[in-house]
Amino acid sequence: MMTILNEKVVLAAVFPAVLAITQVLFTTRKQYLTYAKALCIKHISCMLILPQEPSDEQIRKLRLRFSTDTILDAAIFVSQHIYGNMLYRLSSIVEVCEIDQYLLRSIGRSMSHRERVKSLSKLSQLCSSTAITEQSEVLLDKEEHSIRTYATAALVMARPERAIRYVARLTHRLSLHNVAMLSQLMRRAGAPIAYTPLLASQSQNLQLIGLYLCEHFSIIDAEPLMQKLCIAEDREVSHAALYAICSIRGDIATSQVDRAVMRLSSSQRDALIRHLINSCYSLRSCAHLLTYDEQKRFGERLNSYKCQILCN
Amino acid sequence: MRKIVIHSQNRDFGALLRGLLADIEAHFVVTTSRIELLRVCKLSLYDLILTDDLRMFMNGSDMMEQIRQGGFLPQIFVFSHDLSEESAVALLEVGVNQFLTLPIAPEKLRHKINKIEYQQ
Repeated sequence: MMTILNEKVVLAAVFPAVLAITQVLFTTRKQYLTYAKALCIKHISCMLILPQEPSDEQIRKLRLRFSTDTILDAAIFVSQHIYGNMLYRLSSIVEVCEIDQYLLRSIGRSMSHRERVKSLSKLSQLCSSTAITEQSEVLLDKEEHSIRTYATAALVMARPERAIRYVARLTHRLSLHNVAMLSQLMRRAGAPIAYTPLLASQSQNLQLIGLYLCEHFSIIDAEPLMQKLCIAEDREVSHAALYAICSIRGDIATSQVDRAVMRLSSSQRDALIRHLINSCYSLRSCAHLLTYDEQKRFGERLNSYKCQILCN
Repeated sequence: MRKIVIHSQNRDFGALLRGLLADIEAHFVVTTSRIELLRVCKLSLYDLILTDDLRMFMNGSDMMEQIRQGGFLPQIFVFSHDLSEESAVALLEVGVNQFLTLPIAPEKLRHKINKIEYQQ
């Protein structure tokens, strides 16, 4: 009995000590990794501003000093925070340190769908070499939509001149988030984009990207094409075109806009009312699109304090 | 020699700026908390403050008064992903000298910093 009691006392004393030591080790390791990442970022950014291209020897020294995961996180951070000519230097650092190859190997090894998507997402944020293009193109034929989307994103960054072709190859519909992500990557990678062929394309994904770009850059000249897309058979494209016209404060007194609004459900109409208010349309200009109750709600929202905060 | 403060609660962003400006002839101080920033500004006079902490300016100009004291006016550059006009106008009204959106072009940033005339 005494032996069992002693054992329990010892366990009660040792167990919290073990927990405390584990916690300290974990915290120390986390702090070390944070410090290492910041130091790696500083080294990479110093290399980017050198008057001449960093040599392979200088880049390999980075690899000797930091782990691949640390260099990967640091390169992604730098890539997200700078733009311009120095991104090409970053791509040579990525190539010599073989970070893109490391990510592709981890995609091949990984059994988990989530891990593969995470690795592809990281690859799409790096300025990777064109050598990985062939290996990434294989992933475009996978069944899972998210893998295909993020593989397209990685290829857009690697080969921006083929961005439109890669997006047109997608057979599934992109979500609005993915449309925004791909548009942003195309812009950062310097892909040659013109809105007219995108809006006139047969691919719904390319039309959505074109509409997103026109809305983002307020391209007023694209309004006639947007009006045509308002009456497209595809509801999502029609909906996006309607929102894009409102965002650029286009003409909503057309028959195309009228038909597009009639196809909306009641919750979509409610959302459209909020968007019209945010786009600074008056009640009078929208009255022909709305029912009596909707006009009343429009007026109430327009006079609410929230609207005054947002719109003033 | 110029004196520059890099203030960011994100250690990585502070390291990025420090690396991009490594070859500029200046004395650099990197701070990670607002208390540290105010202490550093009280101890010495600085020509330039680079920060990505918008929120410290958002409650009015109290922070600005504490940073700029004794008639000495360091230039303040603020970096942010926030592209809204309201934020930019609010910061410029508080007294921020430059509002730079992220991502930044390192060449342009270095050119802007080299153009600043130091006051000491």
